[in-house]
Amino acid sequence: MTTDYSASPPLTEQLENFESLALLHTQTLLRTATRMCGNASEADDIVQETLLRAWKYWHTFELGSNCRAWLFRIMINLIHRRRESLSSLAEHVSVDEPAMANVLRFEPKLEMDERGALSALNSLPKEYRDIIFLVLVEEFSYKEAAVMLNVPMGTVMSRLHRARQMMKKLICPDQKEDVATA
Amino acid sequence: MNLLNCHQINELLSAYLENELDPTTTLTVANHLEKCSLCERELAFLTNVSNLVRSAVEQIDKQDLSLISRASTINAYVKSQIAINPQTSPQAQTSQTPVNSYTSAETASTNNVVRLNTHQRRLAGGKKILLSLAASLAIVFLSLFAITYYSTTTGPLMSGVARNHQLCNVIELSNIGWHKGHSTENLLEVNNIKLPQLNSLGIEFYNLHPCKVYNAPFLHLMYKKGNKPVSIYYGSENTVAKLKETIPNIVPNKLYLQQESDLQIGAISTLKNNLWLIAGQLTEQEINAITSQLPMNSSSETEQSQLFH
Repeated sequence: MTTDYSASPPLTEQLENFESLALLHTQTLLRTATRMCGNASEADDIVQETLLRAWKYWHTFELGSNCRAWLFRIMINLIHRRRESLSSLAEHVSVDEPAMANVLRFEPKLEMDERGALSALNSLPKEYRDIIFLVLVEEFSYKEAAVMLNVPMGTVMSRLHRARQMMKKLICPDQKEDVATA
Repeated sequence: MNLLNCHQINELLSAYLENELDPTTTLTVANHLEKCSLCERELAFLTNVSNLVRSAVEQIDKQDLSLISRASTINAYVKSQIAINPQTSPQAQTSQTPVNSYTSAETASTNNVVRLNTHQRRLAGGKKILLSLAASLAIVFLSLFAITYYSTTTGPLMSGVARNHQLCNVIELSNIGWHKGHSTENLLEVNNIKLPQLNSLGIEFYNLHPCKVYNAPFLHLMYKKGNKPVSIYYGSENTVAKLKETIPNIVPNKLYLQQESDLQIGAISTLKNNLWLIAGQLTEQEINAITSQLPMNSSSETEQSQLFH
């Protein structure tokens, strides 16, 4: 891809575009970062860095393309890097402490079934939880999720399938696996 | 596609649910589901799990009001950094090799990224960074000072803001505006309210934005009667609790009136425990007339409003 910088819009216009297209998604980014990091303060830092980095490379963003997906791509990349650098600690936290309980500062009012689903979700390994947040909650397509996670589309499909199967076992541990054995 | 057995169909159900299969495979799965009650049951279960996860997450998002203020703080900080540090602006990048957007994001250097909170501690020294930090702190302190000044020097309520809309106009014009990126319609929509129409009372709407008073979030609807500003604030349950510290006798559907020199203030909470606050150089009758135009018990009103969404 080549960019004609001489034709770049003036700074004020780029600022306006950045505010109206990128900063609009801060809350959504924050929501997902909080879930994926399992720590509100860390999520704040990640989102802040995501937006500063997005501004730095705003000139490469193609107006009209999906800004939310672009921002998520940057953010997930940052989260993965941070996880890698804190891998042992992060593993410990995700296994021993439910991610949502770790970040919520209030007791959410949930139905019993919802609480069960959330508890099951929190006990999934990170890579499966991430795919559920991206595809089920944020409703990104498999293709978008694959680009964000830097994995083939087939991996997204199989991870989501496995994630749902794991949740099924966690929610209904006694349910006979009719289909798998049919 | 050849006929698939239940196990193979089962592996495709997730993608089928998200409409991610090609048309031929979708048809194969659909045909199988028509005939196979086991797979149909499996699909229903997977659908139910997805719905429960979405529903739980949605509930948490609605109830977690801290997200709103955290997002506002981050946006204000990012804007201040952009204003202070032009090196991060697109125009300063013109000498760099153009790269694909995703690639650039992946390989972005963190050299001139300044972060607050836990990252502050990790920052090495550096004059430029310290200056940036000092300037952004100055902006925050000036804003806090301005808000404190207006709420303490002109009366116990938000009369300073209501009397002349001056602080709100400053916020509107500054780079730390809290509502940038939101259209008027968007802010009203996310808070599930309709704009009160007061033209029949000679009061015209001209702007709105999220506003903070007593550190509680309000949606500030800015009106004018002739040249005089009239403020109508819409607040959440959280706001009511905060305001009750100052006005303990706010009760649902009962108008509370308070005169502050030339300013008449009315406060009324709805049955859903949301709050309307009216302030301006108005008479009691005018406050009453405005109150009668406010949506009080709309069925669309959510249990928790989502100010600053």
